[in-house]
Amino acid sequence: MIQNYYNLKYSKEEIKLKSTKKLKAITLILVIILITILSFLGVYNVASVHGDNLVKDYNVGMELKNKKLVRLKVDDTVNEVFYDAEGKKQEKQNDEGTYTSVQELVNPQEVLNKENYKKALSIVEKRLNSMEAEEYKLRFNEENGAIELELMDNDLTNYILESIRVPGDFKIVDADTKEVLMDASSVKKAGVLYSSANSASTTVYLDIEFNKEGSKRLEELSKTYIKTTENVVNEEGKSEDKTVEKKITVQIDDTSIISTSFGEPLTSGHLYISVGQGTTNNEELRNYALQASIYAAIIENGTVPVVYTIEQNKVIVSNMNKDIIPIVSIVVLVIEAIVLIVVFRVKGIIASILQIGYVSLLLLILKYTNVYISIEGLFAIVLVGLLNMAFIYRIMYLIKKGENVLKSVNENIVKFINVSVPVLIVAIIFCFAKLLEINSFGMVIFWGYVVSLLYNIVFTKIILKNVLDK
Amino acid sequence: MTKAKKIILLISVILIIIGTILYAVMGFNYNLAYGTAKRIIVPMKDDFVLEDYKSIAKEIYGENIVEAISIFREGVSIKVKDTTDEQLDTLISKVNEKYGYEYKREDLEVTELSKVEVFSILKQVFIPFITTLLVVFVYMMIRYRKLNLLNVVLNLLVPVILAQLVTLAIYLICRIPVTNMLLPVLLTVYVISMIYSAKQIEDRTN
Repeated sequence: MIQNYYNLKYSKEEIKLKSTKKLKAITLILVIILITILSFLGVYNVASVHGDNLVKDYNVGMELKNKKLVRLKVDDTVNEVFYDAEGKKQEKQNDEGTYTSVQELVNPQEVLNKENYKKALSIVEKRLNSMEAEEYKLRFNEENGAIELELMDNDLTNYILESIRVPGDFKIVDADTKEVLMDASSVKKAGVLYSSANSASTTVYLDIEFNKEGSKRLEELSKTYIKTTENVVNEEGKSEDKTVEKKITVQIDDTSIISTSFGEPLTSGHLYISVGQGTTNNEELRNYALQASIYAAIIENGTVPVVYTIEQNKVIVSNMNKDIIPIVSIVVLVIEAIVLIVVFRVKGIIASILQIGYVSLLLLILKYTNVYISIEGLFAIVLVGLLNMAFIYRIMYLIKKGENVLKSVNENIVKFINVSVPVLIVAIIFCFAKLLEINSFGMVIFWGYVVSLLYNIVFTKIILKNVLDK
Repeated sequence: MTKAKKIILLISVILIIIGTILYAVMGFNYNLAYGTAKRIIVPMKDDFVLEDYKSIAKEIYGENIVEAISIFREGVSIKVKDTTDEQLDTLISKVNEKYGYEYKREDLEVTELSKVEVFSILKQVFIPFITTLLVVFVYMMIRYRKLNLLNVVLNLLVPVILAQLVTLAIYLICRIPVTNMLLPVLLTVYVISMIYSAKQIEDRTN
């Protein structure tokens, strides 16, 4: 009687344990199905007119969306220039005095050579990098100097174009005599600074840092170009104090950025120029910061020796779009599932479900972590997918050989971590790259590894333990 | 070093030498995507089917890349290797026939495109590659301090650098066209070779 009682109790516990195991596995498989639906199909708002997908969409690079196509051509315009009797160039002809009109090329023949074209290309590239252009491709014709630029079309594109469009001849001149006091050769670097004098508003500053000689010259100028009070005799013959202000003008290509005098000697070698006014409005602040970035990119990278004009400025719609991401993922998943099912039969179906769940979760996370996916990112999705499949394949292989499920999973996770560290280092460093191609690849690899580790600890381990462990 | 590894190393070196010679003699093989080409821009007044343009361009030029201009579909960009006046005339007559326009030659915009240099692509990855390689090297030196320096160099730096050079050599030998796939291929090979190296060193330690 006692023995029967214990046998009965044991079998009930066993049944309970088995049903709990089943329930755990089924619940997790249902979660995987839910993740897959969310990731590949989305959730649509039926109340909305357009039936919007409530699941966030992918951020994609220019090869999967739109790209701006800009063609810069060496300017061959001929301008009519007026010279006065003394041979000084005048802005326009007026009725007073005698003027000579001369037809002048914007780019004189002597500047049109391969060396200058190459220098121009190098400066354009440097300015693109200074403006942190995320994704671009350059085509260059060294015979005629034409530069064709393909870059990502977003709200920053026009600002980036603004920075490469101009020659960028930076000068500090005497505001009255126009004598050149300093030029780009004195500049070490330029950047953008923010200052909140009071908590209410923020001012954007263009920070120009000069080299050793430039700093000395700036100090001299800051002592010369100041406000002074002079004692003068007025029209009525009375003596009075008059404030005389000697000003400098900071200019780029004859366009004045600021005309000012110095309040105190500048010894730091930095010249801070406020761009716009202090503001609390984020949109205004962003515009000022972008304007300052354009100035900085132009000033720190030198003058383009040839004047360019924009010949073509069009948006090209890429033939590939973001749909390629789920399509490629599905194709790879189908191939992986076939391999797993052929090798592991029924157990291969569970392995395939696990692999589908991993890719779906990764794609969903990439959507919500705002990772930009370029072609490189797409390759990285396939790569981390294959690595995760290799991980699952290895576990299934060990289980097939009769190894304990939990032991196989745990051992493989430890091995996985040991081998992954160098790749994670690569991924993390790539994440900080400015170029979208590298950044996208690094980001996907990083998230791929993080998701793989967590997913395999939570899903793979529990599902395999509850389904395959006897 | 095992015999298999010696053979792989020998094959790699041979591939790299052949690749270098081919680069000096012929350079990389560029196709339409990154090579010298001509871009023909056809303005459009009404909506159009891109496939129609693809078939027209294929009929006239053979290899082509057709893309829509602007999200409002203001025109079509047809990238072809080269074009003659006759081919342009045929293109105009086919577009006019299809859409009922009266376009003339001057309505089309034809621009010459230079190639995207392979070195401009490699330049983009050079600094990230070197930086990561150095950091991983330092990590390996600390993590596997029991192994000597030469061992880490042979098992990490050599396979990773060789893999990149062999990939470029294969591009040159097999005349694989340089497209926007080159950079992703190089990055993928880089990560795979890194995993291989890490596994080799890990196995050696165990």
